[in-house]
Amino acid sequence: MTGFGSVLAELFGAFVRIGLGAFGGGMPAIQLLSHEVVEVHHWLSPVEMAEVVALAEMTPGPIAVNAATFTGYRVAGVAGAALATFSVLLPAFFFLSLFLLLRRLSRSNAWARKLASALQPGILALIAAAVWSLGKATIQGWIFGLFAAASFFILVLGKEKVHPALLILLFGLLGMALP
Amino acid sequence: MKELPKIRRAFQLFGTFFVIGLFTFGGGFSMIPLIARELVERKKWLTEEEFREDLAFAVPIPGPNAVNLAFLAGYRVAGALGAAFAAFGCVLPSFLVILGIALGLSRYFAAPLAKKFFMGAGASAVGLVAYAFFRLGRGSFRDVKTVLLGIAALALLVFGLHPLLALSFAVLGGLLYDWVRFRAR
Repeated sequence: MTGFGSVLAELFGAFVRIGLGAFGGGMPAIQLLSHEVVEVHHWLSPVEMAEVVALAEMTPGPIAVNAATFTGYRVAGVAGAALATFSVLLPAFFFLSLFLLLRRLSRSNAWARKLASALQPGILALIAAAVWSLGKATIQGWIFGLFAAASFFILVLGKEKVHPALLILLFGLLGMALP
Repeated sequence: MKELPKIRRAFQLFGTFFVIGLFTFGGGFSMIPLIARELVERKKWLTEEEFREDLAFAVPIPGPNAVNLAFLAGYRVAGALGAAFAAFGCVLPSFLVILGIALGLSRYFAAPLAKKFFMGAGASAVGLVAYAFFRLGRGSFRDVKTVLLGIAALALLVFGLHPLLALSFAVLGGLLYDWVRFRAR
């Protein structure tokens, strides 16, 4: 029992640290993940870690969260999966609550509005960079470029009457129909 | 008496974000069109300004962008309960999918047909993120300052600067721009 308890405690500590450091995503997050999960705790082998990263890119959800669920399950079953997933998100919940508390306690929300509009150009740059890096990783061949362009134009011309999830589903199915 | 609708809204948030979480491929930004459509256009739970503000803070606050945005938007709709339900709904699909893989369904995910599905879905997600850029940029790129700062931040990102640093430099650049304009008057 104490063995199981200490494993859960270790999972908690490791994934809180990962949650603290892994934001911004990309390579730094993956390096931090493999440092904690592979090198420090030996929960997964390097090969398994690479498989988790590949799976996380295919399946929905943030990579750190996916890796937490998978590692947690391997180490301590469903309870471990739930705990690791919760732990990796705990720093986020803490900082989000702190921000909401600050906004609530301040007399005026003007600072939040001003800061949000100051952040706007940087956010747009991040989204543009995401289009580029995501496109480079997933668009292999002109037909996939066509899928991406069609999704974009359907949304622009459809004025959000078409559910974006439906497009994901449709082009996923079309992908299956490819030779 | 006022509490009951809040609980109902929290459950609606859970359902809405479960669907959003299910289709958030390729990083958190692909859910921007989904959230904008469901919460701003259809249900009118958020105004466009509130949505933009929540997105602006979801990115720099530590944590996955998708979960952060669910939390902040959920809070606006139904308080702390809404934040918890929205975040839980957003995470649950990927939790279940990964659990299924860990339980031994991985060979189905490695199947050629599944791979093809994810290739097509991933390509479509690129279109969704491009649309997110178009949708937000349409409202924001109205002055020289925003365009200049956006290009500068993008250049920093291309040179491999950490996203949070690029974001900070863009904010500082904005302050500097205002200060120079103020001095010039």
